[in-house]
Amino acid sequence: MTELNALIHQPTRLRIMAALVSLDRGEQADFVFLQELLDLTSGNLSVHLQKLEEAGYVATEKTFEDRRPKTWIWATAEGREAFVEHVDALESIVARAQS
Amino acid sequence: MDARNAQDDLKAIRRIMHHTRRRAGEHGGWYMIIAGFMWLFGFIGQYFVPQDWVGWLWLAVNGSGLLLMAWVTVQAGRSGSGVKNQLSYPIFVFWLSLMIFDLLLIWLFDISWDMVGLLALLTVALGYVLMGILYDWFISVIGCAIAVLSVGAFLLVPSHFSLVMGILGGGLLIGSGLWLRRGTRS
Repeated sequence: MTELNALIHQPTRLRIMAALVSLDRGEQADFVFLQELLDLTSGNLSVHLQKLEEAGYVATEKTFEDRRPKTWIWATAEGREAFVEHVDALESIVARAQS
Repeated sequence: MDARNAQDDLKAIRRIMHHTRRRAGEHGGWYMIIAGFMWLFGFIGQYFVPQDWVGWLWLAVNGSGLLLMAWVTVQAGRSGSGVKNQLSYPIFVFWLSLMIFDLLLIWLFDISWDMVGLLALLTVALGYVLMGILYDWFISVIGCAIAVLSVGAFLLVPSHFSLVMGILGGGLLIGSGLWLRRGTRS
């Protein structure tokens, strides 16, 4: 049985990963999009993204568009796999309680 | 963790994923809707133009459709939705390559017009199956459905092949595109 992922289990990081994993492979979300979607402050989002990036679950790319800085974020393959395993663990807990 | 908290987490996950897809938009759905209308106008249009003009009709329909798809691709890249797709241009090139490949086959093997329609449909079906492997199994299922519908109509009702493909095939693509744009994938 898969275990809960302690890093992803944190509520804000869980929501961040859910948002990023829902995008198709090849799709990237920009920082402001994520911030507005999840209703987070920029500082809060940055801190959690850094933790996820250090774990290899998300990747970021800083670019300039129309002379304005933009940060693009996406879930890595490892991050997607970790998220799926975490969801499987959650579903197992629910299934055990119902059986 | 107890089951109640686990259930709450799962609900939160589904909610976020649904909202993200809605906000990100479903540009892929637009391609299917455009392709559906191309089929509708192309196949039904064949009944209203002289036989000699069928090739020109398809050239006009495909050319217009391709331009529209290119426009959607550019808009997707520029979209203010905050989500970009690194694969938009490669996917556009993929479909363009399939079309060029078909044109070469038609030219080199002198394929008759009644077979051209079937070739185009099977090529589209192949494209959808491959796209589905990359994106969503639902798209592969649509590809298989198009292949089965095309071959079935060609063999069973050859005299009404164009009508079947225009209405059913075009309708299937338009409906699928609208479904994808609902952003209700889990």
